[in-house]
Amino acid sequence: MKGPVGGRASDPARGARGRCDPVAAALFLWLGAVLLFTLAPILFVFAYAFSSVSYAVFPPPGFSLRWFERLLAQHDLLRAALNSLLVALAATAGSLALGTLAALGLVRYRFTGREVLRAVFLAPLIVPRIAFGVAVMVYMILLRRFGGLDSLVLAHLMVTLPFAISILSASLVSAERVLEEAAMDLGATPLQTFVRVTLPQIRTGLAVSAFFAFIISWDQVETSLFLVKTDNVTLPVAMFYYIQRHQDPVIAALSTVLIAAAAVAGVVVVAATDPRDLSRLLGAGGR
Amino acid sequence: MTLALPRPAARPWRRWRARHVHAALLAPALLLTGAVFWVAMAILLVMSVYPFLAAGPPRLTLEAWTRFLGDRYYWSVVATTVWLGGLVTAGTLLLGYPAAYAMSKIRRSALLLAAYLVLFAPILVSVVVRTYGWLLLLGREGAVNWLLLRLGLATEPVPLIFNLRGVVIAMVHILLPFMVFPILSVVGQLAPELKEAAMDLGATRWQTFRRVTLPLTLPGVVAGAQIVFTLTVSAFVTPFLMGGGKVQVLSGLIYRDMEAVDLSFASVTAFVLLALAVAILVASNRWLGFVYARAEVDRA
Repeated sequence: MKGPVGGRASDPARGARGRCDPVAAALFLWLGAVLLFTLAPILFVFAYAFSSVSYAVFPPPGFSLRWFERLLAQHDLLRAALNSLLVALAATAGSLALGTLAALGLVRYRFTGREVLRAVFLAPLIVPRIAFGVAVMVYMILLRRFGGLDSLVLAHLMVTLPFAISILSASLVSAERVLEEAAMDLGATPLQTFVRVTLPQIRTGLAVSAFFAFIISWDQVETSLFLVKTDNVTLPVAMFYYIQRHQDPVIAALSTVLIAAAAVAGVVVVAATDPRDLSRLLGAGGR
Repeated sequence: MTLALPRPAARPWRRWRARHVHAALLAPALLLTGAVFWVAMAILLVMSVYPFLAAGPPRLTLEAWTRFLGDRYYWSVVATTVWLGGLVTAGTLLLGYPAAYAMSKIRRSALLLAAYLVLFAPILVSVVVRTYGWLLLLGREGAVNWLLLRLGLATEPVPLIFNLRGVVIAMVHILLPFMVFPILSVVGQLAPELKEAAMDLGATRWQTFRRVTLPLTLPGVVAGAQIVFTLTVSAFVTPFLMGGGKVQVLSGLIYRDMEAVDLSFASVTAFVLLALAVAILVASNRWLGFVYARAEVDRA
């Protein structure tokens, strides 16, 4: 299965090693095709956002901006975007707070039942999200909390918290314990030690956890699907329903806006990250 | 001779407190996970045998379970789900392994960063949007069919959406990063000396790959396959939209039951899906243990 537009690879590093090595050339050609395959659907969403017709025909017969105009009139989608943003921010904040505390408890202390507790925390990762979605819907009906944003935050937290706990645990394991002890010896209170010594050391873990929590909540369909009514619908669920009801590129226009926003956010994050942390993250694939 | 040391009165309390700090740290997350996740799952189990929200007085019944387990149609849905998982795992492996291998050979860090960006940035794009992109690409009048007709590879548009083919293509696209990343992390750790040694000893390239590279990267492959398979069987959006009602998997069955407000049957289906996910995890963990054990034996 090659890239749908053919295998015209950009061929990274053709001149890197073995100019006449057919195996390496084939590998890089394959990589180029795979990268094209990865980009293709996203590029086509961009292209159709500017199409002049409502139906999906290739090549698009003309250029227009009317789908962006129509998008601005879709108040339901805008409201859904706001709901999603609120839920994702709340789920991220909750995951970071509870996740940091729990990771500290799991990593810094030895007690019986630690492994059981870790399993209890990570179990939600195994449960298919749509199965949990059914469970949490029934639960929220029983609690009479069905239809609010709070039910969505709680449900999303169950999905994002295990990621935060496992990422932050890994971060705490590699943090220098000696520094914490030194701070305590020099008279810092446990809270001061945590804020001034531990937190700065796990900031990459915190950033990665926040990133994952936000993305998972922001793009959550399965867990939200049975929890939404008209008032608390989230953006991915609204888009999911829109695609089924309408056959026009409003969703393509919306996606273009979202992808542009994600790209800007990505550039900001990369610019704000310590280059050493970045190269360490990328180091897995180096040489 | 033992000597009972006198302790200041505050000491036991402080020691008790010091010994239970972890409880205070763990309590919030544990209480929340317990009160939301575990209670919800327990309610789901109860719902599957005691349909308390249905019309009429609720009673204990295994009706939903026997309806699912006794019907061949539902077993065929389970089979489709597993088959889809296998196809998508094979597809991501076929695309991802050589790609990860090629990426490990890139020397220029700018090119490597670009490859990483292209491969992993789509995670930032909603699954709904990526699926929508495939609907546009693979539709009757989409770009792929346009190309196939232009090149003379087809005489009429090939049906690529609303069937298993379309589901597999889009799922492979969505889950590819989850296969590439674990492979990349093991390929990156390969010592080049091992391959050089094999080549020096007269092994052909294929033999070197087959006997050295592949066994050493197998843990990454198994880890990636585990993630991809598990995520495929529990995925909903892409199979539902790309399948267009023609491809029925367990997640779609749950959605259908929920639309029909058949909560107890949805609960049963949810548990079947959960059982499938757990079975895959257990089986692949055992396989991973076996792979590691064999890698150790090979090294010895």
